[in-house]
Amino acid sequence: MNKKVSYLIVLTMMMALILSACGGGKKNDEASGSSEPSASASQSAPAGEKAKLTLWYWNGAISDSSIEAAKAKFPNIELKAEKLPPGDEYKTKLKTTLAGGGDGPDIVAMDSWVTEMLEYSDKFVNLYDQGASEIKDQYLEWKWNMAATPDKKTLIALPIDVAPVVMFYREDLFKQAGVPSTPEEIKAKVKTWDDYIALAKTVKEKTKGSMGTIVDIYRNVINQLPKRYFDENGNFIGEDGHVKQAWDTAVKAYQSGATFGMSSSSEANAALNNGSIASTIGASWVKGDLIAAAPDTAGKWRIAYPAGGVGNQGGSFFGVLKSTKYPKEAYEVIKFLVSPDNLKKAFLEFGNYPSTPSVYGDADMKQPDAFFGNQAIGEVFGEAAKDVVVSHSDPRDGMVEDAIIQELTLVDTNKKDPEKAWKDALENVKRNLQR
Amino acid sequence: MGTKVRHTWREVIRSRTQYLFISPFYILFLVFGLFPILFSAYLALNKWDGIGEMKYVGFRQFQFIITDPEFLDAVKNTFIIWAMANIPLLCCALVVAFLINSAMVRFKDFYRIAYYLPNVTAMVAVVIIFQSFFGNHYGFANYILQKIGLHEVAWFNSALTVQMIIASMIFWRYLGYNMVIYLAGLQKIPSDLYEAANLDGATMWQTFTRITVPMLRPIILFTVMMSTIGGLQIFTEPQVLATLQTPYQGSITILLYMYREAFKFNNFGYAAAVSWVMFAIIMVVSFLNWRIFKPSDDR
Amino acid sequence: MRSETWKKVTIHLILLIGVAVSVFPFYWLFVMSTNTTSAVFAFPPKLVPGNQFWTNVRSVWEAVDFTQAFLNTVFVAVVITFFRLFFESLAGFTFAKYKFPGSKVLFFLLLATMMIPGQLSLVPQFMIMKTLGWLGDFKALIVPSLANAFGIFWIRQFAQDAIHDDLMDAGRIDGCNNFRLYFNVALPILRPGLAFLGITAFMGVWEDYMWPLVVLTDSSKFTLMVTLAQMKTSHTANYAMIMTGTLLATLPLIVFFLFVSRQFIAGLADGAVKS
Repeated sequence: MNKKVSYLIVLTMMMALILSACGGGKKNDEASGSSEPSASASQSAPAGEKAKLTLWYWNGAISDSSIEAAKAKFPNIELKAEKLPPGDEYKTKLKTTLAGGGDGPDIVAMDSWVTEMLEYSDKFVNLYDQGASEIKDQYLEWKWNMAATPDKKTLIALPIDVAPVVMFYREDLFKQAGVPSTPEEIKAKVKTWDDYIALAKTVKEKTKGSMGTIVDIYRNVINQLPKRYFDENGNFIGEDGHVKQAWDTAVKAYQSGATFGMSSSSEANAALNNGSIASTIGASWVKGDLIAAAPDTAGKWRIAYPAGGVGNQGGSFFGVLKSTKYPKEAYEVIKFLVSPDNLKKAFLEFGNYPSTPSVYGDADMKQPDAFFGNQAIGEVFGEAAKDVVVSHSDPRDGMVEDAIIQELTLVDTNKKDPEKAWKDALENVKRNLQR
Repeated sequence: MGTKVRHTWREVIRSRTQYLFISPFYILFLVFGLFPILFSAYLALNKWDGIGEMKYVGFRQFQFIITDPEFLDAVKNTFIIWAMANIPLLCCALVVAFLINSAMVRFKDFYRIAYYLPNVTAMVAVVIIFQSFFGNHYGFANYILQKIGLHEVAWFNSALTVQMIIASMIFWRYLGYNMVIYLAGLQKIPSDLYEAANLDGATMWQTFTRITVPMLRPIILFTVMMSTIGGLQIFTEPQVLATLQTPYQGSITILLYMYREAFKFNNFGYAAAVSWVMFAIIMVVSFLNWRIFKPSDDR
Repeated sequence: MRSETWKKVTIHLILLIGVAVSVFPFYWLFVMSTNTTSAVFAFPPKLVPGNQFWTNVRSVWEAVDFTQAFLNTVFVAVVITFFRLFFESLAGFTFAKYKFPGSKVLFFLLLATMMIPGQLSLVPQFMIMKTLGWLGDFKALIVPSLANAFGIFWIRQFAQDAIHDDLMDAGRIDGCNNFRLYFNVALPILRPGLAFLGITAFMGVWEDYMWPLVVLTDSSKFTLMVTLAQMKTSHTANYAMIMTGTLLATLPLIVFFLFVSRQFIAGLADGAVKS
């Protein structure tokens, strides 16, 4: 009697376990079975049934109010927006989802690494098939082309914002140091990196306020160049001189004594707030970080056209995964989300600069910003957005950049000889390329 | 031969309840443990970016691993951090357990709870807290150094200090955990052994080395094994610690190396190969542990 | 007698220094979560609590859905802990008290699985979850964790010493079958070991970070640690808020521990006395 009861208990528990496993598997088979045909032909949701769309984005990729607006605009779509951790984690998650067949989200936000996704364009809905050519003229051409395959036949994403690079600086400290301190003066007098390094050195000596770290400078310079680490055919071009030029500029800045020492991001944030950092070159979204990190310095910052040119610091995109059941609806949603009006909203809310030039002239884009001493910062961004340089990017860029940054960090922290560090970095890269 | 087989078979049938009782673990392991491992063995022989086509490369990736200076560096870092953290950790845990267990200490409960508290803190949280202790420019550690008239240290600027920081996190978090395990073991040691030693006029140190340590050998083996397996898989500490694009120097561990290969550079096949090398290292070290701390009388 | 007193004082002094080291980081965490970010980075550092705690708490709730994350974590942790205790004590008891064909090999295999670094099979495991259709579901978190080699090993070690053969024999004479032997004889004796294991299991789930991060896609299903990490990566500027989030994610576990620590420690002592 008792024996039977006890067997029963254990058995039920294990059956429950096994059954739940089988049940899950079966459910998935059904789901993937039904999604198979819909992926090829673009079909719309049956009448009376809501199209369920899942959207992945990170905090700050798009304004939350735009998402709410999209929900209101498309009553027949059930839009589920999931906010994921940003940066590498986000990219990793998306890549793993693509690797696993991609039946996670329908719509995904992507950063400037969208170019790396072109290699997997077969995992994305070709937005040209959905009529994207119609709206092409609204967007900056260089930005639009980033998400198109080289043969221009496939478009995997629509542009959200551009992230023009500008110089953020403390007007009060610049003034105190006796260097050019208005945006106009800076644009006119601080044109090259040599100019900027000389200026930063004076500021540092007079006020103790540094420029960015050695790694920041390297990134700034490399992003301003029309070439990066690989050419269109996948050949390594890191020895062609332009990378070394960026390296040398960073080293020069470091040797002038004006760079901020390598430290954790929270320490760098603290330095922004207490005057240890007087200027930094960064993308437009640095504005949001600055406001959050340096509340005590409100009104003292200004924005100017950066030394050495604007460069390319990303900006994001929305794409639709091929695994979606509702490519048409998904396209309508992203088309709405990246419409000029919604992009403008994002700029007004947190500084993401739209990729639609038609709104640049709008009056509310030129509103004075109190944090920046009532400067009309939109104008500087708009000017910078038009001069962006796009370089060819390659999936192996991350590996190369990591190797370089690792050695560059040692130049600062361990006082490693820059030439030796450069050699070691190159050696490491070449080794890795041989795999 | 035939009767022997039949006999074993009968035994198996008679023990079906036992098999049933232990089966959940093995079922789960087959599905969620063994299968992934076999899959990773297959991956290790292929070059794969996780999305595109796999390309068979044989053992080339293994060859690359064992000659990669960065991997060797990762191995070195892992062992340095492990030793820096675990040797003082296990020694201190044993001493603390011994002190708390000594007859004259009151408030045993209080001590146990107080020492165990750090282990209740998640590693992610520990890293966040400790990172703020050791700021390059600010931070409590530099404040103390300044107070006692020493020079500030740029903690994150040298491999050794970064390793120290990580080791200190592990030490802080696991001291109480190991102490509780030792204490449980100590309390099993018959008190008449101690009384006898006391009567013989043994000092505390003698009691510790002559009675406590030998009696605790199996438990010490257990903690050494666990801390080795755990210590060779250090990951969260350097990963969460790194706020820059690359981990701090001296903090790339084997697992972090593997993680970065897989999830940062998308060399999934290569990462799988790294996991096998790491597995081999853990096996060797565990075997050494076993040999060194093996209980003299096998029960 | 005098030297005895000295010895006592010394021992307590050593132990109290250790206590200070153990407890100070919590105090530091508290100080930082009650101050503003700029106060946190002042030099010399602030060493007394400030009055910004509620402001910081508010920013935490503005940044992430903390309540939901808390409930998710508790749910997953309770389910896993329950099943782990059942399956592991059953298996651990069986290994400790029975000899059956292959038991040695099976136990060795079990020990061997402990050597396998869990995170290594991250990618293939993720794919299994995908194939089963469990992604984004708590099932992906719960099912693979329902039994763990360490727990079985721990219970076996505990049961070997704690459950005497004469007790088992007595049980058999009373007509107990194997399951009743487990349930009526072993389980009560194993309770102190289970308390410890249960707490470890619960905390393990609470603190797990990598796996939930990979399999949970929906932010409404995130656990506390994933939420905390998300906060840390996306809000680096507000350090005081990150510290407050850390405090809030840690506090429930500390309270839980303080609440069960008496039974936990008494149980440990009990187990030691009985064996």
